[in-house]
Amino acid sequence: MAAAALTTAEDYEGDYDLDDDFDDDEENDCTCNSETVLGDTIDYSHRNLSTLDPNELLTLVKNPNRIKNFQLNSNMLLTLPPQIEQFQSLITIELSNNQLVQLPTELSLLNNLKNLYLKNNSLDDFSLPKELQLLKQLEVINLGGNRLKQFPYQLFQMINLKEIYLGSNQIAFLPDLFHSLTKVEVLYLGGNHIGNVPDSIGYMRSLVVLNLSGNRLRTLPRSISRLNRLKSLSLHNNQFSALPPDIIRLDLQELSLRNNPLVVRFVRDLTYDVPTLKELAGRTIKLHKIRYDDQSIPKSLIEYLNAAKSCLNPKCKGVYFESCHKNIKFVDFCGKFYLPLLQFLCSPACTSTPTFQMTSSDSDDNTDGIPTKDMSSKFKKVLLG
Amino acid sequence: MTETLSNTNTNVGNDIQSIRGKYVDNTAHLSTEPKSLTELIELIYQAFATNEVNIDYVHTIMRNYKGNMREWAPYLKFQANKYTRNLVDAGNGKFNLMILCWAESQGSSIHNHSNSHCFMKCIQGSMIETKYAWPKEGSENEEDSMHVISRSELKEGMVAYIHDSIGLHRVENPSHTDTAVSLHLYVPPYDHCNVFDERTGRTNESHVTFYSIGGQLTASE
Repeated sequence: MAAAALTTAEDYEGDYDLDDDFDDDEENDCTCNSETVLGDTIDYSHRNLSTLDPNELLTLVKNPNRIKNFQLNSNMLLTLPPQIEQFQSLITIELSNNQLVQLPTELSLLNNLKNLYLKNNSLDDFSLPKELQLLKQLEVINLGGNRLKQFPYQLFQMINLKEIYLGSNQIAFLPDLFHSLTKVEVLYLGGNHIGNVPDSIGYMRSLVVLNLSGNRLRTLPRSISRLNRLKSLSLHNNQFSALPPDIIRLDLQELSLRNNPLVVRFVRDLTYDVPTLKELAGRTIKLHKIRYDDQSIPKSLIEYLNAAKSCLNPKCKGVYFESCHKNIKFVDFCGKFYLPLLQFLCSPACTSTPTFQMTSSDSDDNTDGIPTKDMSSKFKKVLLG
Repeated sequence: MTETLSNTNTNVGNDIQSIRGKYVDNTAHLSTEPKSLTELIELIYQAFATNEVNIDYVHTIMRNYKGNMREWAPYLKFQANKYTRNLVDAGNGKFNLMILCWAESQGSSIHNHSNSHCFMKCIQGSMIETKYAWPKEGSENEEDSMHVISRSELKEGMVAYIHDSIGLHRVENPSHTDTAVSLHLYVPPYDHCNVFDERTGRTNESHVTFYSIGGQLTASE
């Protein structure tokens, strides 16, 4: 869930008696209790700690191997001592709201670590040791509110990750390496400087929640339509003027689009680059189904011909390669809102209806391959607010 | 400012003396410093014992109420895809008190309040409230983007008030790292409102539901 790092009373039910450490007059985030070690949990949170004295810690905890949960959030720690390695049974380490500038390489030796919370610290691209990629059993990592300018490459090696939180950093570029993250269910990238989403995002077949809000996105890759488990897509506060029609194939429960320069009125046809001779030849071959093989033409041309994309107009048998005509068509979702979708057509002459015609969900005229009412109603809720 | 909940005879316009005679501050005897959620609820019940609603008094007690995580714990339920509405007290039909939980970056649609008074207190994190003017009457066939009246940050402890006579609003948690929680009081309660498309001013009716009631998840969830 999106709020994995928010600890509430429920998280500690059974572990932790809140009544022991809360004085009614004091603010609710001051814990002044003496029960720092309870069962398999150490609670050192909210203690104004600027360093962690390993000797004191190991004296308090006779057997570090029985500790599974270490709460160090809301302190002033700059780093962790290497002795953290001795806590081999750690499953969760909570370091949010500190001043961390560096993580020790010894952190990567915690073979049982599943949850690493590092939200709201001062970590930059150099703070995360390369060895962190050894945490192959890690399931949840929260690096929100830090100073990352790059997507941490170590994460691509952590193949058991289920939830990645990178909100409020300064990430401007996403590498095209998301193929390995097939178990990730939640990917939070809101509040960065991302201008483009790479194709490989389509390989994240377990993705349920994708948050791309507050970035610099103008478009999404077509591979987004392969995310058939995606339920929540947050695109608000970006630069979308239109959306790829593939989005209609998703079975979303929530789609947020507020604060995007979505086209107010119909837009005249966008760019159309005149096709090259190579493209025209390729189109002819495809249209007339002229046979080709590696005996007759070079391999590179075979690859080119195989990459042909179909014109979205179902009445048109045409294909295109690089040169396509981008058209904007307004689609009425569930009779509620008009959503501008981008159509890729083989030429400006290919529209069977003029660009400025708004289709209503009741219309029978579906000759343009624009989603029908049935497909539109797949969206249970469209948060255009 | 006091408003009567039930419709009374409004033909009193000219007689100032009789208006003054009718005005009774039914909350003057009540405390303004609720020390717990239970006490806040008790004060609200007492404030609405008659059918008069003293808006200023309600605003004051909402503002002064501090509360703590422990009291709110049963209602703190977050969802990855949408904010949750968690009913605390159904007010015997006179009011609804609820806690809304906003995960990172979640926001509401632009909506009205079906002529009810709405008090909203930020109790954790911070929120942004954007107020909009009603789309112009008779403009259903035109599409005009909606006009922002104001945009303000609601920090922890602060209370905002809105009513259809003021306009519409959108509420959002702007943080990408922290959740936000708000305490809402609606007088009287409502279960339908209108949502608006910012781009065109078009509106649709919406049925509002609770994710949990008294800490228990509702059947539909």
